[in-house]
Amino acid sequence: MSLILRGTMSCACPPCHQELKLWNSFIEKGHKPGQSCLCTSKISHTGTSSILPQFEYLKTKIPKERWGEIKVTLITPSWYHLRYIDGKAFPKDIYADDEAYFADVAKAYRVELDLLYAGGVRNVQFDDPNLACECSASLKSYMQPLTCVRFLFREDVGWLEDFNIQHKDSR
Amino acid sequence: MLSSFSSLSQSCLFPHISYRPQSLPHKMSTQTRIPCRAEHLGSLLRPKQLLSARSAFEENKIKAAELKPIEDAAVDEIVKLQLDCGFRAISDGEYRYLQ
Repeated sequence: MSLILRGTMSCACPPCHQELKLWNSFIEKGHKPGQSCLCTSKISHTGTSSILPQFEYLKTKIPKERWGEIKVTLITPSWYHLRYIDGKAFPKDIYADDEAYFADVAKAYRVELDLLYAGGVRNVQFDDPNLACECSASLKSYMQPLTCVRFLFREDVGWLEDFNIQHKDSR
Repeated sequence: MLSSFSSLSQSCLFPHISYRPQSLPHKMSTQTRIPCRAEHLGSLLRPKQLLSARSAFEENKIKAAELKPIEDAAVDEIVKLQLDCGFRAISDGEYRYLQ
Protein backbone atom coordinates (compact mmCIF):
# COMPACT_ATOMS: atom_id res chain seq x y z
CA MET A 1 0.00 0.00 0.00
CA SER A 2 2.99 2.32 0.06
CA LEU A 3 3.71 4.47 -2.91
CA ILE A 4 7.04 4.07 -4.64
CA LEU A 5 8.06 7.70 -4.77
CA ARG A 6 10.91 9.01 -6.85
CA GLY A 7 13.48 10.48 -4.49
CA THR A 8 13.02 7.96 -1.71
CA MET A 9 14.90 4.87 -0.65
CA SER A 10 13.26 1.91 1.03
CA CYS A 11 15.30 -0.02 3.57
CA ALA A 12 14.31 -3.23 5.31
CA CYS A 13 15.99 -2.23 8.54
CA PRO A 14 16.61 1.39 9.39
CA PRO A 15 20.35 1.94 9.87
CA CYS A 16 20.23 2.68 13.57
CA HIS A 17 18.00 3.93 16.32
CA GLN A 18 19.67 7.31 16.10
CA GLU A 19 17.75 7.80 12.87
CA LEU A 20 14.48 7.35 14.63
CA LYS A 21 12.62 9.07 17.34
CA LEU A 22 12.64 7.16 20.57
CA TRP A 23 9.39 5.32 20.17
CA ASN A 24 8.81 3.71 23.52
CA SER A 25 7.02 0.79 21.96
CA PHE A 26 10.11 -0.05 19.93
CA ILE A 27 12.81 0.63 22.49
CA GLU A 28 11.18 -0.78 25.59
CA LYS A 29 10.36 -4.14 24.07
CA GLY A 30 13.54 -4.38 22.05
CA HIS A 31 11.72 -4.55 18.74
CA LYS A 32 13.54 -3.56 15.60
CA PRO A 33 11.68 -0.98 13.54
CA GLY A 34 10.29 -2.40 10.35
CA GLN A 35 10.73 -1.40 6.74
CA SER A 36 11.30 2.32 6.43
CA CYS A 37 11.51 4.85 3.66
CA LEU A 38 13.98 7.74 3.60
CA CYS A 39 14.14 10.76 1.37
CA THR A 40 17.28 10.85 -0.78
CA SER A 41 16.37 13.59 -3.29
CA LYS A 42 13.44 15.77 -4.32
CA ILE A 43 10.31 13.68 -4.11
CA SER A 44 7.94 13.18 -7.01
CA HIS A 45 5.61 10.58 -8.43
CA THR A 46 7.09 8.19 -11.00
CA GLY A 47 4.11 8.70 -13.34
CA THR A 48 3.03 5.09 -13.07
CA SER A 49 0.81 3.73 -10.31
CA SER A 50 2.27 0.66 -8.62
CA ILE A 51 -1.09 0.11 -6.95
CA LEU A 52 -3.37 0.13 -9.98
CA PRO A 53 -2.33 -3.39 -11.14
CA GLN A 54 -3.54 -4.74 -7.82
CA PHE A 55 -6.93 -3.11 -8.39
CA GLU A 56 -7.01 -4.56 -11.91
CA TYR A 57 -6.43 -8.03 -10.49
CA LEU A 58 -9.25 -7.64 -7.98
CA LYS A 59 -11.60 -6.68 -10.82
CA THR A 60 -11.08 -10.17 -12.30
CA LYS A 61 -12.36 -11.71 -9.04
CA ILE A 62 -15.30 -9.43 -8.25
CA PRO A 63 -18.58 -8.83 -10.14
CA LYS A 64 -18.45 -5.77 -12.37
CA GLU A 65 -21.33 -4.06 -10.61
CA ARG A 66 -19.21 -4.00 -7.44
CA TRP A 67 -15.96 -2.67 -8.91
CA GLY A 68 -16.73 0.75 -7.40
CA GLU A 69 -16.66 -0.75 -3.91
CA ILE A 70 -13.22 -2.29 -4.22
CA LYS A 71 -11.05 -0.73 -1.57
CA VAL A 72 -7.52 0.40 -2.25
CA THR A 73 -5.39 1.24 0.75
CA LEU A 74 -2.57 3.75 0.77
CA ILE A 75 -0.14 4.38 3.55
CA THR A 76 -0.64 7.77 5.09
CA PRO A 77 1.65 10.46 3.67
CA SER A 78 2.99 11.11 7.15
CA TRP A 79 4.46 7.61 7.23
CA TYR A 80 7.43 8.83 5.22
CA HIS A 81 8.63 11.23 7.86
CA LEU A 82 6.85 10.87 11.19
CA ARG A 83 9.14 8.36 12.88
CA TYR A 84 12.40 10.13 12.17
CA ILE A 85 14.32 12.72 14.09
CA ASP A 86 14.74 16.14 12.62
CA GLY A 87 16.93 16.11 9.54
CA LYS A 88 16.71 12.37 8.91
CA ALA A 89 13.39 11.93 7.10
CA PHE A 90 14.33 14.65 4.65
CA PRO A 91 17.85 16.05 4.63
CA LYS A 92 18.09 19.79 5.05
CA ASP A 93 20.03 20.16 1.81
CA ILE A 94 17.05 18.72 -0.07
CA TYR A 95 14.18 20.39 1.75
CA ALA A 96 14.77 23.47 3.85
CA ASP A 97 11.61 23.07 5.90
CA ASP A 98 8.59 20.88 6.58
CA GLU A 99 6.28 22.80 4.27
CA ALA A 100 8.44 22.30 1.19
CA TYR A 101 8.71 18.57 1.94
CA PHE A 102 4.99 18.19 2.67
CA ALA A 103 4.12 20.02 -0.53
CA ASP A 104 6.07 17.57 -2.69
CA VAL A 105 4.73 14.49 -0.88
CA ALA A 106 1.19 15.79 -1.18
CA LYS A 107 1.72 16.55 -4.87
CA ALA A 108 2.92 12.98 -5.45
CA TYR A 109 -0.10 11.61 -3.64
CA ARG A 110 -2.45 13.72 -5.73
CA VAL A 111 -0.85 12.29 -8.87
CA GLU A 112 -1.44 8.80 -7.50
CA LEU A 113 -5.05 9.55 -6.61
CA ASP A 114 -5.63 10.99 -10.08
CA LEU A 115 -4.18 7.82 -11.64
CA LEU A 116 -6.30 5.62 -9.42
CA TYR A 117 -9.45 7.54 -10.24
CA ALA A 118 -8.70 7.43 -13.96
CA GLY A 119 -8.18 3.68 -13.59
CA GLY A 120 -11.63 3.23 -12.07
CA VAL A 121 -10.86 3.22 -8.35
CA ARG A 122 -13.65 4.85 -6.34
CA ASN A 123 -12.85 3.79 -2.77
CA VAL A 124 -9.53 4.71 -1.18
CA GLN A 125 -8.44 4.43 2.42
CA PHE A 126 -5.40 6.06 3.97
CA ASP A 127 -4.09 3.63 6.56
CA ASP A 128 -2.56 5.55 9.42
CA PRO A 129 -1.10 3.32 12.13
CA ASN A 130 0.34 6.44 13.69
CA LEU A 131 -3.13 7.48 14.82
CA ALA A 132 -2.84 4.70 17.39
CA CYS A 133 -0.23 6.86 19.12
CA GLU A 134 -3.04 9.15 20.16
CA CYS A 135 -3.79 6.53 22.81
CA SER A 136 -0.44 7.00 24.50
CA ALA A 137 0.50 10.17 26.33
CA SER A 138 4.21 9.59 25.74
CA LEU A 139 3.93 8.79 22.05
CA LYS A 140 1.42 11.54 21.47
CA SER A 141 4.10 14.12 22.22
CA TYR A 142 5.88 13.03 19.02
CA MET A 143 2.83 13.47 16.88
CA GLN A 144 2.05 16.18 14.41
CA PRO A 145 -1.21 14.52 13.54
CA LEU A 146 -2.53 15.01 10.08
CA THR A 147 -0.13 17.82 9.22
CA CYS A 148 0.94 16.26 5.95
CA VAL A 149 -2.54 14.97 5.28
CA ARG A 150 -3.83 18.51 5.68
CA PHE A 151 -1.55 19.48 2.82
CA LEU A 152 -3.18 16.83 0.73
CA PHE A 153 -6.63 18.17 1.44
CA ARG A 154 -6.05 21.89 1.17
CA GLU A 155 -9.06 24.02 0.36
CA ASP A 156 -7.88 24.66 -3.17
CA VAL A 157 -7.93 20.98 -4.07
CA GLY A 158 -11.23 19.92 -5.55
CA TRP A 159 -12.34 16.31 -5.17
CA LEU A 160 -14.81 14.33 -7.18
CA GLU A 161 -18.12 13.50 -5.56
CA ASP A 162 -17.98 9.83 -6.46
CA PHE A 163 -14.46 9.30 -5.10
CA ASN A 164 -14.58 8.06 -1.52
CA ILE A 165 -11.39 8.84 0.39
CA GLN A 166 -11.12 7.91 4.04
CA HIS A 167 -8.43 8.26 6.67
CA LYS A 168 -8.36 5.55 9.31
CA ASP A 169 -6.26 4.04 11.97
CA SER A 170 -5.39 0.54 10.87
CA ARG A 171 -4.87 -0.85 14.38
CA MET B 1 -10.84 -7.11 12.34
CA LEU B 2 -13.94 -4.98 12.11
CA SER B 3 -13.94 -1.34 12.92
CA SER B 4 -16.43 1.51 12.74
CA PHE B 5 -16.16 5.24 12.17
CA SER B 6 -17.17 7.17 15.22
CA SER B 7 -18.05 10.22 13.18
CA LEU B 8 -20.63 8.45 11.05
CA SER B 9 -24.24 8.95 11.87
CA GLN B 10 -25.83 6.45 9.54
CA SER B 11 -25.53 2.72 9.15
CA CYS B 12 -24.55 0.88 6.03
CA LEU B 13 -28.24 0.40 5.36
CA PHE B 14 -28.27 4.02 4.14
CA PRO B 15 -25.18 4.28 1.93
CA HIS B 16 -26.43 7.43 0.28
CA ILE B 17 -25.94 9.38 3.50
CA SER B 18 -22.54 10.98 3.58
CA TYR B 19 -19.62 10.54 5.86
CA ARG B 20 -17.95 13.82 6.62
CA PRO B 21 -14.53 13.55 8.23
CA GLN B 22 -14.28 15.83 11.20
CA SER B 23 -10.55 16.29 11.26
CA LEU B 24 -9.68 17.08 7.66
CA PRO B 25 -10.44 20.53 6.24
CA HIS B 26 -11.56 19.95 2.68
CA LYS B 27 -14.36 20.43 0.23
CA MET B 28 -15.60 16.83 0.14
CA SER B 29 -19.17 16.66 -1.00
CA THR B 30 -21.77 15.94 1.67
CA GLN B 31 -23.15 13.35 -0.73
CA THR B 32 -19.99 11.25 -0.74
CA ARG B 33 -20.94 7.63 -1.09
CA ILE B 34 -19.31 4.93 0.97
CA PRO B 35 -19.83 1.20 0.66
CA CYS B 36 -20.70 0.80 4.32
CA ARG B 37 -20.16 2.21 7.77
CA ALA B 38 -18.24 -0.62 9.38
CA GLU B 39 -15.62 -2.52 7.44
CA HIS B 40 -12.45 -4.41 8.07
CA LEU B 41 -9.36 -2.37 7.80
CA GLY B 42 -6.35 -2.65 5.48
CA SER B 43 -4.19 -5.58 6.45
CA LEU B 44 -5.62 -9.05 6.91
CA LEU B 45 -3.90 -12.08 8.42
CA ARG B 46 -1.65 -13.78 5.92
CA PRO B 47 -1.85 -17.53 5.34
CA LYS B 48 1.29 -19.42 6.30
CA GLN B 49 2.20 -20.29 2.73
CA LEU B 50 2.18 -16.62 1.79
CA LEU B 51 4.25 -15.66 4.83
CA SER B 52 6.83 -18.32 3.99
CA ALA B 53 7.00 -17.26 0.37
CA ARG B 54 7.33 -13.59 1.34
CA SER B 55 10.18 -14.39 3.72
CA ALA B 56 11.92 -16.42 1.05
CA PHE B 57 11.53 -13.54 -1.41
CA GLU B 58 12.89 -10.99 1.06
CA GLU B 59 15.89 -13.26 1.59
CA ASN B 60 16.39 -13.53 -2.20
CA LYS B 61 15.69 -17.24 -2.13
CA ILE B 62 12.88 -16.96 -4.67
CA LYS B 63 12.19 -14.45 -7.44
CA ALA B 64 9.18 -12.14 -7.82
CA ALA B 65 7.81 -14.36 -10.60
CA GLU B 66 7.70 -17.25 -8.13
CA LEU B 67 6.10 -15.16 -5.40
CA LYS B 68 3.30 -13.73 -7.53
CA PRO B 69 1.27 -16.92 -8.12
CA ILE B 70 1.37 -17.59 -4.38
CA GLU B 71 0.18 -14.03 -3.73
CA ASP B 72 -2.55 -14.40 -6.36
CA ALA B 73 -3.80 -17.65 -4.84
CA ALA B 74 -3.90 -16.09 -1.37
CA VAL B 75 -5.72 -13.01 -2.68
CA ASP B 76 -8.22 -15.25 -4.48
CA GLU B 77 -9.01 -17.00 -1.20
CA ILE B 78 -9.37 -13.86 0.88
CA VAL B 79 -11.54 -12.19 -1.75
CA LYS B 80 -13.83 -15.23 -1.80
CA LEU B 81 -13.99 -15.19 2.01
CA GLN B 82 -14.97 -11.52 2.03
CA LEU B 83 -17.63 -12.09 -0.62
CA ASP B 84 -18.99 -15.12 1.24
CA CYS B 85 -19.13 -13.08 4.47
CA GLY B 86 -21.10 -10.35 2.74
CA PHE B 87 -18.45 -7.64 2.97
CA ARG B 88 -19.08 -4.56 0.90
CA ALA B 89 -15.64 -3.01 0.45
CA ILE B 90 -13.50 -5.85 -0.85
CA SER B 91 -9.73 -5.54 -0.67
CA ASP B 92 -6.76 -7.81 -1.19
CA GLY B 93 -5.91 -7.62 2.50
CA GLU B 94 -2.62 -5.93 1.54
CA TYR B 95 -1.30 -9.41 0.84
CA ARG B 96 1.21 -8.06 -1.66
CA TYR B 97 3.06 -6.11 1.04
CA LEU B 98 5.15 -6.97 4.03
CA GLN B 99 2.99 -7.45 7.09
